[in-house]
Amino acid sequence: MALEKSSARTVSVALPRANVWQRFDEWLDQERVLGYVLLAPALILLVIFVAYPFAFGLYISMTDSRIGHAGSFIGLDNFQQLLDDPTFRQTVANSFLYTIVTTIVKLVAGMMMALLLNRAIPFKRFVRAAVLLPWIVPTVLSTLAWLWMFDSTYSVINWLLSHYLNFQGPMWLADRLDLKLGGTSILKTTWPMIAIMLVNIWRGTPFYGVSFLAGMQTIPEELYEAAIMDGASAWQRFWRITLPLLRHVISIVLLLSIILTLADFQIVYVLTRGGPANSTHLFATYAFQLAVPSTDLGMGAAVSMYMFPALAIVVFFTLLSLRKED
Amino acid sequence: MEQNSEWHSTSATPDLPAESQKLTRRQFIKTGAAATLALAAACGPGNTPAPATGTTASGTPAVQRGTSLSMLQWSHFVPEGDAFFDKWAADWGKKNNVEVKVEHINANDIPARLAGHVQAKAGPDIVQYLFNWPWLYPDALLDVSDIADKLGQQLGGWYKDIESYCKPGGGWKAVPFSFYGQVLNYRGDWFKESNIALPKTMDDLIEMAKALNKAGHPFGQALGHSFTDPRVFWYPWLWSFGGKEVMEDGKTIALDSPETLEAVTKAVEMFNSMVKGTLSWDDNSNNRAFLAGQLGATTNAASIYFTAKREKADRETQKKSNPAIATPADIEHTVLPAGKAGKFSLQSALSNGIMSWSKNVSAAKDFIVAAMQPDVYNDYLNTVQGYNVGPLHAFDNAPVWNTDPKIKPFLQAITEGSSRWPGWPGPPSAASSQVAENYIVIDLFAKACSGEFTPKESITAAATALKRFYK
Repeated sequence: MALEKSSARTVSVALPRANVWQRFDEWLDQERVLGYVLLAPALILLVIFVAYPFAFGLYISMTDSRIGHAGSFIGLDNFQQLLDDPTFRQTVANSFLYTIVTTIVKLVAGMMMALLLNRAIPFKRFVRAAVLLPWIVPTVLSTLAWLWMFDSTYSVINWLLSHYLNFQGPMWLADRLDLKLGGTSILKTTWPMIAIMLVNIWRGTPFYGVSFLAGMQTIPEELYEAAIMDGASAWQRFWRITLPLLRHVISIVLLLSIILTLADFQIVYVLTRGGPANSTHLFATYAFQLAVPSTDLGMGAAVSMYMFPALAIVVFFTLLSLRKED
Repeated sequence: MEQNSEWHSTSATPDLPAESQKLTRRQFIKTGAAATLALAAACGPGNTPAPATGTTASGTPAVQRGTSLSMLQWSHFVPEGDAFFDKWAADWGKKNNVEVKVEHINANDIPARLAGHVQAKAGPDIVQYLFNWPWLYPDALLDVSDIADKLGQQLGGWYKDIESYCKPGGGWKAVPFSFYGQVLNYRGDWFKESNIALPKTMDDLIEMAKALNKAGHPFGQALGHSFTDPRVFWYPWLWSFGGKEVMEDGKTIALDSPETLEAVTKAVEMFNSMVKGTLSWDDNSNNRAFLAGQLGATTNAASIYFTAKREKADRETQKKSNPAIATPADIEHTVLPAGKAGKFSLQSALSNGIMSWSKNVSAAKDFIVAAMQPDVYNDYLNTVQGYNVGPLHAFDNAPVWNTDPKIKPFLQAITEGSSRWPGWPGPPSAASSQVAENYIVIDLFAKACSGEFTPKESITAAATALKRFYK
């Protein structure tokens, strides 16, 4: 209306501009176009912060780059050399042992925690908030506290064991463990490996517990009431109702947890720095050891790249299982 | 359909007509695009704020260039040393119209910080290096031969081993700052009480460890991954038995030898008499254990003794209820013994390098030279009471060495000339520095001592690991 009241000269200038905007609006109104426009910011961020670093990391892993030197292309030499490196082979074994053991324990402990928190218990809200503390506290800070608890001179755990149970605790960050049954070794590992797994479990269980709890609270109460009417036991209710309806949550929690655990760095770096004698290195700490103090960027990147196929397989199967369920 | 393409604001304002409260997706995208463009324009090069030091838009100098200097160095084991240095640096800055900032971090964390700075080609003007770290970053360091040679001429010449750390490729890339001497710290009272003799050979050292263990005051030596204590003991241990990682050419791996086997086998023998837990020890662990009265002896710099002196009154009170507590009177020092192949040590060293990105090279050089002048450096040595030892011969007679006879072995450890470098008898190199940073020699002993490998297997594993670096 405002345009109609204006002079003829003004109208002749304003109309084409209005047409451009109108066309833009119409173009944008197409769902096909709008979808990509809305996707663009996230895509740009992913390219800048995920795809580019990954591609650059892949390139670095195929060079002999050192800190301060660009290096030259050497193909798969770094990957080949790592296969001959006993520390790397131990790192791979450690990483899978660490991830498998802690994931299983966190899954079971987290489920138990969620079942407990889902019941009517005194100070329910306070308890729910309190159990999240290990997950909330910055990992480096809480692991420093664990470092003191495992300290060879001042271990409060060993002090308690010795004073109240008259039991000499292990050197948590140094001793080897050789469990024997009837004179035969059934488990050979190190206490430092157990120590880092304990801290990971302590820290990660609340994440499982709270996620499962959130899932449990979406399950209709009527299902349990009907099951009780049919005479189902508590175990049957858990096995037939709770667990099947939590499958999606469990899959997502497992996916996230496996990715984070396999790529863990902070707990090992603070507690053992990969020692003693490289016995507790995971992919991330060994990659750091080679790339940063040793300045061998190419080799460090190659260690990181070895993590990728394992993670890709985990992600693939988890997403596949989610699709099948849908 | 049009209705479906609209998003409605959840916080409706009652005063406005309903139509105006709707945010269409077209408006959302237009607003978002406008905001992004505005942000990009604001952050663009045309709007970059003028630097604090530099020139204004008209080209007029705002502040004279080169008025700030930053330095990264370790957190000293004797905190009084950091306090002295920081105050001196600030005073020097005031006198020279330079704002000096000194940052102290854990020495084990310096490589990570440095890696980021070197890759980004930005960071502190001066970085303090430990041992042979200058060999790892030669291209990131400026040549400082002019001031290093001048200081050498002025102050009696440099010690050769610390010089070798600072000359990757021939020229000086860092200026030595100090040693921190490593000697055997032992409990004189317990040695006397149990009639334990001071070791004259490495075999004696094993017997000493056994005797101390029997007396309930074991020997303890770090075998973990940490920057000083594990290296300064286990490298000389290897050399003392005739073992070496590489030949004189610096390329041919020489670890797998009967001499190395003897060194590892005897290390295991001694380890079995040592205090438990040393496989995970870092540089602080033996200080804590010794001061708490859990150790009869350990290899260390003067920080244990310095702490005991600082806490003298408290410790003497505590000792009445806990006789194990170490007081300054109980602590004695002696240099490490010789082995069958000779007398060796690895004396820890600090040096200052000027980074290639520094815009204040002239000020940085003046600062480094000023810190080494006798009027300043002798005060520094007095403050740290024997922890640091001068890298120049002029400081061999520094007044601090006459203040307390108990600290003299720290000077002797340097002046006796037994110190070598990682990778000896090969020349210092990037490869030997990488071997040190990967703790291959330390793990040679640690894997055997822990029982993971036999001594022979441990040597094979370490020799394999060396191949990645010596090519």
